[in-house]
Amino acid sequence: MANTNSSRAPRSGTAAGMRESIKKAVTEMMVLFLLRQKPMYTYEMSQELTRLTGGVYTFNTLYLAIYRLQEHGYITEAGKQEAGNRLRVYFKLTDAGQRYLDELLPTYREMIGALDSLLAQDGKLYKEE
Amino acid sequence: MYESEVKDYCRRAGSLLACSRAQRQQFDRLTRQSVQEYLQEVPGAPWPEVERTLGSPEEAASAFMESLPPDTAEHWAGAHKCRLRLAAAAVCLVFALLVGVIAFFVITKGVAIIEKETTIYYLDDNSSMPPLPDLE
Repeated sequence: MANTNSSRAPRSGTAAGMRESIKKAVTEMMVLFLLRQKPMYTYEMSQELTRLTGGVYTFNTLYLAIYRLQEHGYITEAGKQEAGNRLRVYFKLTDAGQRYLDELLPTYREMIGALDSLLAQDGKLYKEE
Repeated sequence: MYESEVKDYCRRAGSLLACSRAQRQQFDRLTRQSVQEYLQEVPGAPWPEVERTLGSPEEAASAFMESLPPDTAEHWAGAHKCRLRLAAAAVCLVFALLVGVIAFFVITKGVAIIEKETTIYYLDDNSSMPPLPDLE
């Protein structure tokens, strides 16, 4: 029987909820970023992202993000490889995917930069008033 | 492996999907494929771990809806409303028919349908009576 408690989405108004929202917002960007480095299969993407972020970021609904990106034509199958009794489907970025990532990165940096610099002023704002 | 868990997961997520049956089937197919791929890489992984990679049913449903054209949910909601109205009309019609039938029997105090068949034979002195029809 499924563990319903583990599957419940964190609610908004909690730190876990915010974390999930951020993860959701950047999932596509992270998939595109990883595939820009080299073609990967789904499980590899998941493992690599966890490793490269020191376990801070883990993918949720990665397979749906891959499906979405494929539907939009941003990624495509790069080939299949048999490893033991496993069949791995590798994905790679398309030209449209490259362009999309090039659009996403500055937008992301602008947002994060603005928010970071604002948060760095915690307690220093409106001191004169 | 985990057939019943996957079925339950798809059922819970499916209840949150506002899309056509074909799109739901696509969601189920993607989910099963993802579980299969994960178990291929991590054989014997416990279900909660597998489910974590899928995301909660709510997250998965929301992520899947994002992959569909923006007017899908609206279109489906309209079609769903139309189907509900038709179903309500059908239920009302059946109910009205039942009420009508009950009212008929109440007003007529019950009706017994009797089928009666009469055969008259005119017999003269020279003729013999034909065999009686088998009424059974």
